[in-house]
Amino acid sequence: MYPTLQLGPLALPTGPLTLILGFWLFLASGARRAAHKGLDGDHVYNAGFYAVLAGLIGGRIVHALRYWDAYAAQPMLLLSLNPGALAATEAIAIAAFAAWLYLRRHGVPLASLFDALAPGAALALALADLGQFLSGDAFGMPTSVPWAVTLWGADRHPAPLYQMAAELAIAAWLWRPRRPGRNAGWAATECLFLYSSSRLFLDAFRADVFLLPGGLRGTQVLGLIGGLIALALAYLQAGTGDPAPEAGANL
Amino acid sequence: MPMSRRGVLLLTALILIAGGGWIAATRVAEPARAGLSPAPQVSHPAPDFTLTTVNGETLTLSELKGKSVLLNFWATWCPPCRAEMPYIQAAHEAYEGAGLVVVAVDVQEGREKVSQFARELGLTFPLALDTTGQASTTYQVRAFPTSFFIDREGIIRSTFTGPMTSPVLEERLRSIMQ
Repeated sequence: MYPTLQLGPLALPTGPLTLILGFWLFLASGARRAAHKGLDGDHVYNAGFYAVLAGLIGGRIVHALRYWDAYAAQPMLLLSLNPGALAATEAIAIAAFAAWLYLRRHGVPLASLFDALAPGAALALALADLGQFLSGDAFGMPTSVPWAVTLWGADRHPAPLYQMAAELAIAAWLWRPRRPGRNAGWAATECLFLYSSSRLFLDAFRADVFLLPGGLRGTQVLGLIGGLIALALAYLQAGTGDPAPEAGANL
Repeated sequence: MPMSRRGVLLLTALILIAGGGWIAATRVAEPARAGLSPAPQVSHPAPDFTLTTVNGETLTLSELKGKSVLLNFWATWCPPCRAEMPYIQAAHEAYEGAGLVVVAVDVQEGREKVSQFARELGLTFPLALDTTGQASTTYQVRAFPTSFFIDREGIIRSTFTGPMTSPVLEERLRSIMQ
C-alpha cells in the first residue's frame, strides 16, 4: 500500500490528498455543468466555500460541547488546527445545511443544480476510493482470485477498486449527452440509484465495513435504503410520457 | 429516459427482493469475523511485539490483554510528539487505575536520549525502545506520532496520526475503556 506520497522532504498522506482533489473536481465540474444549464457557476464555488467553513466551525463546536471539560481547561484548543478534533458526522450535516441555506437564499433551482453536480460527485467518490485503496484503510474479503492483493496478512479482493470502477462508469453514464426537455432532478436521481446499487452489490466484497446483528453489512443496507429513496423520487418524477421542462425546484 | 410509474414499481420490487436476498446471502459468518488476522487496522487484532523498556524490562504487547492499551509511536526529534506527551501523561495518571496502560514506543533512538526526554517531561508510563524499527514497520508507521487504541480483547478500535490534544484523546479512550 501507499499511504503517503513522497515529494522530496514532504510525505503527503494519499487518503486526504485524494479527498481534497476529489472535492475540487466536484466543484469545478459542477460549476461548469451548471453554467451549461444557464445557472451561475459561481454559486457552486460559493456554496462549497460556505459549506467547508460552516462544517469546520460547527464540527469544532460540537466536539467542544461533547468534551467540554477538556476544552474548558484549555480554551485555546478551540482554535487547534488538529483535524481529529472535529465531530465528523455533525460537521458534514452542518456543511450540507449551510450549502442549502446559501443556495435557497440565492434562489438557485436545486434540482437542476443537483443534476449538474451528479457526474462530478461520482468522480469525486471514485477518487476517494482510490485514496482508500492506496492507504490500505479500505480492504476486501480474503480470496484466491488471480487479481487479489496481499494486505494485512491475506490475499484480498481489491474492493475499493471495484467501487472506483463502478463510480467511474456512473460518471461516464451521467456525463453522456442527453435530450433536452428531461425532468429536472432526473440525473441526480439516477446518480443516487446507481451509486446506492453499487454499494449494495459491491460492499459484499469488503471486509472493513460496520456489521449489523447477524453479520449483515451496514453499508449494503444503507445502499438498499438509498436505492429505495431514489426509486421513490423517480416515482414522483415519473409521468405519462410528457417530460416536464427543466424548470428546477426549490427544496 | 424517465420511467413510467409502473416501471418504477416493478424495479422497486426487484431491488427489494434481489437486494435483500444478496445482503442476506453475503452476510459475514461468525468464524470469518473472529478469524481476522493481526493488522494495524481498526477491528483487527493488534500485531504482537516484544521490546525492552528504558528501565531494562521486557514488554510484550499480548501480555497486556485484559487491559486497555494506548500504543503510541514517537521520537524525541519530533515536535508534535513532544507537544502531545503532556496530554498522554495526564491520561495515564487519570486512567491507570481504570485499567489503561500507555505504551510509548520510541523508534530507533538510544536509551539515554529517551530517558533524558522522559525526565524533562516528567513521563512515568512505560517507554519501549524499538531500536531495530521492526515494531514500527509492523504497524506501518509513516509519520510521528501515530497512536493505536487497543481494547481489552486486543482489538484495535481506533487509530490516530498526528499530535493528539486532550479532547481527541478523551474521545478515543472512550472506545477502549468500556
